[in-house]
Amino acid sequence: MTHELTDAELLTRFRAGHDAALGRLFERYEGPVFRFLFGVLRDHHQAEDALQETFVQALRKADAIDPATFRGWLYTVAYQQGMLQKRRARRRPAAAEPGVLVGVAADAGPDAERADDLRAVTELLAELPAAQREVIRLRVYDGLRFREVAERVGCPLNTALARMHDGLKKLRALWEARHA
Amino acid sequence: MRDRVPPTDELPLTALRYAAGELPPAEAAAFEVRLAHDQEARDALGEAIRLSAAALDRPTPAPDPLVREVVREALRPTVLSWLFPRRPYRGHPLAWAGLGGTVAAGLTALGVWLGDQPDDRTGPPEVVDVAPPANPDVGVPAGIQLVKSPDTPAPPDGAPSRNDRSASAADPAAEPESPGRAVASDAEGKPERIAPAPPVESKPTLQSDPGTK
Repeated sequence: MTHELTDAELLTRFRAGHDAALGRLFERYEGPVFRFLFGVLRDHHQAEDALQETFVQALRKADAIDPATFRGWLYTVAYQQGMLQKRRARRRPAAAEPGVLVGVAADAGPDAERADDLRAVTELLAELPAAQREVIRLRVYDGLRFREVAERVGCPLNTALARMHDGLKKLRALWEARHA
Repeated sequence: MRDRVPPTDELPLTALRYAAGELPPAEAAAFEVRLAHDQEARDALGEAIRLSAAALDRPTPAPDPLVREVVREALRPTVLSWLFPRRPYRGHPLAWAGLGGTVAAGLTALGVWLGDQPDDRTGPPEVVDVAPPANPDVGVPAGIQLVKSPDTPAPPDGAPSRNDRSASAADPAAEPESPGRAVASDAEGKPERIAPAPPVESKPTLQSDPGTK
């Protein structure tokens, strides 16, 4: 059984010049930090730029931080980089700020590929409870805002949000099981 | 179909609305303030993004692998980093600042305490210089008599003694010349020298008056 190195151990090895430690830190934090940045910026390329700058800034100052708090430190640097990118984007007149589901849809690729995706999702959606399926369909495929979804379904906003959240969780589990 | 009761923890829902860009500006700003320090909120936002991808049958959004290469390149050691090697972590700077402040405060308190201590040196001084009165017969306490050494002639009036300093010679009122040495008396009234007097010429010596005993 292999011992899973802690952040502190990886950081110590990175400081000592072990390149593999950097790879392990990437594997551990690249995805979560990128998703966090994607949520803040709602733009794939901006999130990539911010992620790159986050790792460079955080690891350049790695000697000045407590290894035990590396995760929090990394997210703090990511937050600062995300806000910086956001301010820059606001200064750009043509900058758009689509919702996250729209943003994900925009990354989905060509129309034919998207059609295949939608067909597959429809099959997965059929396995969800009707209330959750309805909320997801109205929000993602009809493009309604959450408040409009709640009005259409006839429930409070938080109920619509909770159905959306739980429906997405189940959908994610089904998707991962299918692609495992 | 099962209708669901809204959960009491609204953080995932707020994160979902924020990620979807559907939070009102004031609430979005408040959530961003929370993101600055709250790791749970950060994780909730990342989870909202991860779950959203499922609705489109897409893998979770991920960065281009080239990002890693760019980061590796940027972190590659340079000549500057070789000349100025990185220092190992030795604690948070605030901890060091606090320690320094504590030490400084302690030293200050010690200095103040020592300054407030009374001078506890006891015992009579070894030699007491007594200023001569303008009139030798006036101003001498009872029991003390000014005497002159019989073997030393008195200097002529106005002539400075050997112990005169230039300053006091120029201004006699500024620092009068010491006319002699204080001598205590013993039980029998016999003068007792408590310190060897330096050789002076015609110095009057304070002696106790045996008659006053």
